[in-house]
This record gives sequence, structure tokens and C-alpha cells, in this order.
Amino acid sequence: MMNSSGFVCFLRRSLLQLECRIIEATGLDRQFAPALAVHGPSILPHPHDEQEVTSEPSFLDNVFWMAAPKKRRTIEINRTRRRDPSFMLKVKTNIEPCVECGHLKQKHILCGFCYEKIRKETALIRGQIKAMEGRPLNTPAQETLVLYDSESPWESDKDKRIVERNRKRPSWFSIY
Amino acid sequence: MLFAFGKTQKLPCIHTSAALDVNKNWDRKNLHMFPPQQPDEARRPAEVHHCRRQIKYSKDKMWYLANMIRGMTIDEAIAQLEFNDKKGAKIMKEVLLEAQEMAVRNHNVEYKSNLYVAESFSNKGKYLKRIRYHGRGMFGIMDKVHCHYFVKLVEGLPPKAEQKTGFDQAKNYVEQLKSRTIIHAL
Repeated sequence: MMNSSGFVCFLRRSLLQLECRIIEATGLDRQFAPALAVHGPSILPHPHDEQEVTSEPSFLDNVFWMAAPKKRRTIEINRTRRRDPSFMLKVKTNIEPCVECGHLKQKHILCGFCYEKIRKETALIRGQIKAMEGRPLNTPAQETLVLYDSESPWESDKDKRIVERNRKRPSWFSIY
Repeated sequence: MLFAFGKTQKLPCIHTSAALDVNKNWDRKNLHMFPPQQPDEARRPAEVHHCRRQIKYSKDKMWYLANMIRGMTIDEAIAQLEFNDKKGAKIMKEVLLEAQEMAVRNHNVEYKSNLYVAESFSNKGKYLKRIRYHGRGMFGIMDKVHCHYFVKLVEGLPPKAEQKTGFDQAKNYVEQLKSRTIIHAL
């Protein structure tokens, strides 16, 4: 008569044997590879499969290799960067008043007010010239002379065309 | 019926319009009246508070300009802003000129050049929100930034900043170290 431990051992052995028999029958233990490495035209057609799978690595695949901040930059760190002397605005020391009109100007730049005043007068003179010429590209091959009220041309100016302006000569526009 | 027209809205309203919940404290500082001074008191210098609201500019960019003119005389400040290339400089110059005009007209300032910038700062106004379209159907919310700018002009010469020498600073530091005590001692 077998005792319980012996019976358990017998069951275990029989189950293992049964498992081996089943694996043999289904053929799962067999490896589908040649015992020897054979160099030549292989049976299973692999090469043209690899050519089909050539999709470009998408953006989401490459995301893992991109630089990203590790920690949030605190407001103290941000402030020290933004308030660094290189970003602070520099006080200009080259501002002085214009001698002619008294408005402020930079030393190396023409006074804005004086320039504007001259520009306006020039625009009026140009308007007069446009009225004289009539149509574009009608400039005569002569020098131009601008004369103001109660002024007459000199002898040396007789070859020049004259543009009349109905006002007193401005102080900044000298005759010579 | 007359009372109904004269009554101010003191009821709690759930929905307030944009104009009702803004802070007008800076403008009210101009209305503050001091009591008459005693004869032996030092003359209190005249002050003008002025501001401009909802300027279409960033508060951070405005800060650089506000920081530059802090402590300058008004003529210096206007000169610097005139030749600065930033967008906020033009707006700030207008605000300063308006404030100078107000000071001379309403606040008993004798000479318009005898003013200096005591306080100048900017803060955030109400932002408008818009959609910014990204690729792949994503979107972000774009803020159309606005800022307020505040300035306080005071009559007189600007206070001189104390020039501290290195030796003085070192001496102060050593004194601070020496005056340390043990806290929570028995």
C-alpha cells in the first residue's frame, strides 16, 4: 500500500512525463534553424521586407532626445538675469540744446525741429517746380534758382530757370 | 422717484463691467488736502500724481524705462525719453509733460523745471486673450498685453544718493557681525 508522500511523488513524475509527451507531439521543442550556418540563398524570403519598412522617424519618436528644462526657473533667478546691467537702459550723455532753435538734439545728429522746418519749405519749392514742369520727366537741362519777394537775378544767373516764392527769404536760406 | 435716481449702486452685483472694478487710488492722491502748516514747520514740497492706464505695451519693457528716469529731474527725464528708441518712451514723455502742466496749473508749482521724479513704476493692465495657432491642430492662448504707468513729481531738487565708500561698507558689515546675539536664549 503506497503512503501519501509516495503517492504525491508518483503524481508529480507522471505529470512531468505527460508534459514532455505533449510537447513532443505538438513539436514546440523543435528549433527551426539549421544546425550549421549556411551561406547562400536562404529559404525564407527576408530582403525585400526590409525595403518596405522605411517610414521616417516621427516627431514623437525623437522627442526623447531633445533638450528640455529640468526645473522651473524661479522668479529670483529670472529677476537677476533681467535686471543685469547689460540689459538696463543706458543714460545718454550726448544730448545738448540746438543753437538755432533751442530744441534738444544729439551731438552727432541734425536738430529735428530745424530739419523739419527746412523740409517743409523744400516741399513747397518742389511743388512750384512741379507746377512749372507740368508733366513728369520734363526737367530742362538748366540750373534752378529760387528767388523770394523783391529779389532779381544777377547777370551770371541769366541761364538759370527761376522759381518764384511769394514770401520773405528765410534766414537760414542764404542767397550765395 | 427722485430718490431712486440719486441712489448709488451699493448692492452686491455678481457681474461687474471692466470700468467699475479698476483702482483709481493713484488719481485720488491728488485730491488729498493737507491741513495748513504751522509757521515753524519746514515748507512741504508740492507733489503731483499722474498715471496713464491700459497702455498697449508690456509691463516688463516699461519697467526698464521707469527705472531709468527714477530720481532724475524732469528736464533730464524728458531729454532721455526723447532720444530713446523704445515705444514706451514716447508715451512716458507725454505723461511727464501732462504731469508738469498739471503741476504748474493746479498744484501751485512756481517753476516747471523745479520738479523731479520721486516715484515712477509700471504694472499690469487688463489683458485681452486671443488664439495663437500652432501646428498639428494645437493652439495656445495669446495675451494682448497692456500696462499702467504711474509717476509722482515733487517740487525741488532730487535727493542725493549717499556715496558709500568701500571702507564704510566693510565697517558696517563688521559691526553687524559683532551685534549678533543668541536668539531664544534663557
